[in-house]
Amino acid sequence: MSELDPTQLIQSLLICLSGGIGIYLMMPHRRAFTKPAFAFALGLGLVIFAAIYLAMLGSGPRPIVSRLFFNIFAISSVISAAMMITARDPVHSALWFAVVVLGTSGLFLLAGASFLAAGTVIVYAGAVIVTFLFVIMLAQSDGRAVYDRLAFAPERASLTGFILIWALLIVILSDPMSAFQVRNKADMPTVSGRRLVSGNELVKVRSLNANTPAGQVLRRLNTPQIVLPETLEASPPAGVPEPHVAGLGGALYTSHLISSELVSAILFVALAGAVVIATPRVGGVKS
Amino acid sequence: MPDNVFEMTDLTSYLAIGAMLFGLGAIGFLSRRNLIVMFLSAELMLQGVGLSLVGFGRFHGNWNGQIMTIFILTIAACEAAISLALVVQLFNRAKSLDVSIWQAIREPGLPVTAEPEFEAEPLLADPGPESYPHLTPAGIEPEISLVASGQRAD
Amino acid sequence: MTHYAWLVPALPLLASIITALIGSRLGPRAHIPIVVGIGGAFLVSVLVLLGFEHPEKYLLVDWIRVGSLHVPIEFRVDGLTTMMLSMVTFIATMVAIFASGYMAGDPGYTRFFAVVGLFVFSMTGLVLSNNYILTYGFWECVGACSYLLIGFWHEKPSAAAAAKKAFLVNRVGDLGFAVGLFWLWTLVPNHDVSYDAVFSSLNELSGADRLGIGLLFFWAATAKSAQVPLYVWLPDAMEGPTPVSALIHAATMVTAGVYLVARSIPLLVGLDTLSPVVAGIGCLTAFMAGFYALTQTDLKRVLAYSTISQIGFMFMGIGSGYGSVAQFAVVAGMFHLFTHAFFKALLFLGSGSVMHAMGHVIDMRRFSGLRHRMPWTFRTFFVGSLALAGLPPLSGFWSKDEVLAALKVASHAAEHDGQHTIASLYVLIYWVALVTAGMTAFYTFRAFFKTFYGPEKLPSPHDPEAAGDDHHHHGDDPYFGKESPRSMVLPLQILAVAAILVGFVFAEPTTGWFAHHVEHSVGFDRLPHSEAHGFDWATAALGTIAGLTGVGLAYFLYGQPSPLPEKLARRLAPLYQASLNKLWVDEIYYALFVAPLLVLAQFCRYFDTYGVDGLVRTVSGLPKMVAAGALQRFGNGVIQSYAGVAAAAIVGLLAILVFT
Repeated sequence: MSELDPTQLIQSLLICLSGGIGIYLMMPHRRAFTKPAFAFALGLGLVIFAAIYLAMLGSGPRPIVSRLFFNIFAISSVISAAMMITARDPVHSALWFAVVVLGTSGLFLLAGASFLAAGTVIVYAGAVIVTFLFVIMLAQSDGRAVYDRLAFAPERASLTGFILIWALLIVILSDPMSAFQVRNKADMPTVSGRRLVSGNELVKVRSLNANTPAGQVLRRLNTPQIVLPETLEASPPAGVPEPHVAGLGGALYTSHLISSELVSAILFVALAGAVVIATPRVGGVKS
Repeated sequence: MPDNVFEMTDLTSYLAIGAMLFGLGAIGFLSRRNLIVMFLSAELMLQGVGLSLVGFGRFHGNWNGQIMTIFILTIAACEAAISLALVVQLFNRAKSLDVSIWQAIREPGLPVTAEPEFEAEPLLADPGPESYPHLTPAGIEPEISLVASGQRAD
Repeated sequence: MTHYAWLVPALPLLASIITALIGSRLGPRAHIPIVVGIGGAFLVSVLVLLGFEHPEKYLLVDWIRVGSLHVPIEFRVDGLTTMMLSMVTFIATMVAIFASGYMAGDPGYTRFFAVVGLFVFSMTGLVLSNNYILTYGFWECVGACSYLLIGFWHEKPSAAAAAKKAFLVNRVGDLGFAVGLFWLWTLVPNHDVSYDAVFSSLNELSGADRLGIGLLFFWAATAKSAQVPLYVWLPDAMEGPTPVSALIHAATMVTAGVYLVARSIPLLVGLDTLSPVVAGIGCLTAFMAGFYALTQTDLKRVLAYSTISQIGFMFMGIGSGYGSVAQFAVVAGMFHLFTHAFFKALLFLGSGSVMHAMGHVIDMRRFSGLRHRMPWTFRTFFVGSLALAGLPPLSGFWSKDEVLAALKVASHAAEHDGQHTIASLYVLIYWVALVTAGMTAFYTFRAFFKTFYGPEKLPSPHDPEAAGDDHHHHGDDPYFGKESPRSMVLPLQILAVAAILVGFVFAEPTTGWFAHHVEHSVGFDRLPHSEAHGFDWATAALGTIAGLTGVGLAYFLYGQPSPLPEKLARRLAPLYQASLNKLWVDEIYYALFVAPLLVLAQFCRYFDTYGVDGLVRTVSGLPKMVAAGALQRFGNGVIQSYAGVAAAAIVGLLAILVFT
C-alpha cells in the first residue's frame, strides 16, 4: 500500500474533473443543460484550463525559453486533441490531428529527439493525414450525418477515459525515487548498468521509494534502481560527441537490427494486405 | 544528446502530457461513431505513448525510447494503411461510416444498441444557394444563337 | 529369382495407390492399373514358383524396434508361400478382369479397384510375412479390405449390416489371434516370433502352452475361415459385389485361417488332442453348411455355404494330422485349399455372370433354363460344379480324396497308438465327410439344374418372390438375358481350364508336385512323416460314388420340372425348415449375445446421456447461468463497449499494481 500525496491527488482530480466535464460538454449531443454551441464553448474553456494546469504541473528550474516552448507545445497539443475527438466534421478531426502531431513534434524536439520530430511531421502530417483526408473525401462525409452529430455514450466514455487519465496521473506525478547516490561506473553491479551509461565515469543511482505509487509499480516490475548518467558532476565526455542521427541510426541498426528488419517486413505485409483488402472484387461483393 | 538537464520533473511533464493524449484518444475511440475519427483517435493514443517513450529515453540518456517510437511510427503507418482499406470496404458495403451498423457479432437475443436519434445535434442551417453580385453589362452584348438561347430559357 | 518376391505385394499396392489417386480421371479405364499390377504380381509369383529351390527369407526393413520387441518386415519364400502366392495372384487377376466387365458403370468403380488392389497387397503380404506380428498386421488388413468390400454398396442397409457383422465376428476371432500371439511372445526366447525362431525353440514350450496357443490360433481361424461357431458372417458377406465374393469370400481371404493353422503346424504337432478338435470342428462345419445349402434358393448363398463346407474339409484335412500323418495331413488340407480356390472362384464368377444377365437377381426361383441364353456361363459353371462335386478327373476329386485318405490314415494311426476313442472319432468324421461329399454334389447340381435347365424363364417384377429387390430396370440393361461380355467370359474359360487341370497336374498320384513343393516349408522338416501314404483307391471309389449319387439325385429331382421336391419338402417339413432357416443359429446368437449387448448398450447410452452428460452439462451450465444474467450484455457487438471494458481493465490493473 503506497501513500498518496494529497496535493497531487487533488491537483490531478481537478484536472480530470474539469477535463472530463469539458470533453463531455464538447461532444456532439444534445444532452447538456444548454444549447450545444454554448456547451461546446464552456467545455472548451474547461479543457483549456485543464491543459494549462497540466502543463504547469511539472515546472522546475529550467531555461525560461524552453519552458515557454514546452508549455506552448503541450497546451496546444492537448487542446487540439480535445478538438480533434469532438469535431463534427471528420475533415476537421484530421486537421486538428495534424496540429496535435505538430505539437508533439515540438515536444520531441525539446526532448532532444530532432530526427524523430522531423520524421513524425513527415510521416504523420505529411502522409497519414493526407491519406485520411483522401479516404474522408472518398466517403463523402461532411459532418452532417447523424452519427457525426451524436456521440455514443459520451458520459460513459468521458468517465472511463478520465478515470484512466487520473489513475495514470496519480502514478506519474508521484516521485518514485527517494535518494541520489553517486557511484563510479565500474562499481555498477549489473551488465545492463554498464551498457546504459556510455561515456561517463560517474553515474547517479536512484534507489526506489516503494511508498509512492510509481515506486510500487516499479518494485513490482523488479526495477529496484534507476541508473542515470551523472550530469552534474561528471567530467565532459571524451572526444567529439557523435552526431545525433548517427547515434540513433547506430543504435537502430546494431542492437535493434532484427527488430527493424521485422518492422520492415510488417510494413511490407501491411502494404500487400491493404492492396488486397481495398481492391474491389470483380463481380461485386461476395455474398 | 543535448546537454540540457532533464530532470525528474521534466519526465513527469512529458508523461503527464502523454497520458493526457492517450486518455483523450481513448475517449475519442470510445465515444465517436465515425470510423475515420475512431482511427484518428487510435493514432492519437499512439502519439501519447510515443511522447512518453521519448521522455523516458531522454531521462535515461539512451536511444531506446526513440527507437521504440520509430517502431511505433512504422506500425502506425501499417495500421493506417490496413484500417483505411477496411474503412473503404466497409463504406462500400454499408454506404455509411457509422460503426454502430456493425453489431452482428453480438450475443444472440440481445437488442441492437443505438443512441436515440432525437438527441443528435440539430443540423446547422444551410447557407443557401450561393449568390453572386449582378453587374451591369459593359460593352457590346454578344450574339446568342437560337439554340443556345433556347437552352438558356430552361 | 526368389529375391524379387517383394514385388508381389508391392505391385498391387502401387496399383492401388495409383488408382486411388488418379482413378477418377481414368474413369471407365480405372481397372487398368489394377489388372496390370495384379497381373504383374502373378507373373512374378510364377517366376518365384519356378525359380524356387530352397526356403529363403529377405529382410526388407526394420519395422518396430522397441526394447526387446523387434519386428522386421521380413518376407519368407518357401513352398507354402510360393504356392499360395501363385494361386492368390492368379485368381485375383482373373477376378480383376472379370470385375472390369461386371462392375462397369458402377459409380464406385474406382473405389472398388483401389480396394481390390489393397486386398491383394494385404493377402500376399499375409502369405509372405515371416513372423507372427507381421502376419497379424496383414491379417487385420485383409479383414479391413473385406469389410470395405462387403459394404461396398453401403447405401444398401443390408450391405452395411453385413459388413458390420463380418467385422464384429472377425473381431471375436482376432482376439484369439492377439491373445495367442501375446502368449507366444512371452514364451519364445528373445521375444522373437519369426517362424523359424519359434519352430526352432519348440523344446522350450510346454505342451500345455502349445495347446493353448494352438487353440487360440484355431479360434482365430474359425472366425476368418467361417467355421463353427463363428461362420455366421460369411453367408451375409454375399451382399458384396460378386467378384469380391469370388476373390475374398471364396478363394483367398477365408482360407487365411487354414493357412495360419497350416503355417503353425510345426508348433502344434504332437498334440494328440488338438488335431481331433480341428478335424471335428471342420467336420461339423462341413456337414452343417452342406445341410443348409440343400434348401437355399439364393444361388450365391448356396455357394457361400458350400465354401464354408469346403473349408470344413480343409480343416478336416489339417486336423487329421495325428501322429505320423502330420505332414500328409497338412499337404492334403492345403491342396484342397489350392484346388478349391480355382473351382470356387469359377463358380462364383459364373453366378456373377448369371446375376449380370438377370438384372442382379440371384434368386433361383426366378430364373431357369438359361443354358441356351448363356452358353459359356453354362459350360464353365458345369465344369465348376463337377469339380466341386469331386468327380474325377477334375481338381476337386484329387484334393477331396486326399483329405478323406488322410482321415482314414489318421484313424489307423490312432488305432495303432491305442487311442480307440480318437480312432473311432476319425472313423466317424470320415463317414460324415463322405456323406457331406454326397450332399455337396447334390446341392451343387441342384443349383446348376435349377439355373440352367428346365423351361426358360427370366426374372420379371411380377414374380411372387420379387420383393422390390430389382436394382435395375431391365429395359435399360443391354445385357439382360444375354451372355456376358468378353471380359467376363474369358476369365470363366481360363478358370474352367484351371479347374480341370490343377488337380491332375499337381496331385499326389500323378506328379506329386504340390506335396513336394509344400514340404519345403519352414518347420515342415520337423513334422513326422512316412512315405506310406498315397492315393487310396477305396476312398476314391467311395467319394466318387457319393458324388455320383448326389448328382443323380439332383438330376432326378431338378433335372426337369417335377412336383417331387415340393412333396419331399412337405414330407420332411421339420428337416426342411431347419435347413432353410439354418438351424436358427443366427436367431440363437442374437438372443444369446446380441440382445444382452444391446440392453447393455442402452444402459450405457442412458448412463452417458443422463449420468455423465448430465454432470457435465450441470457444471458447464453454471457459468452460463451467471453469464446469461450478468455478462451477456457486454457482448453487444458494439466496438466501443469492448474497448471501454479494456480501458476499465487497465485502470483495474493499475490499481492492483499500486495498491497491493
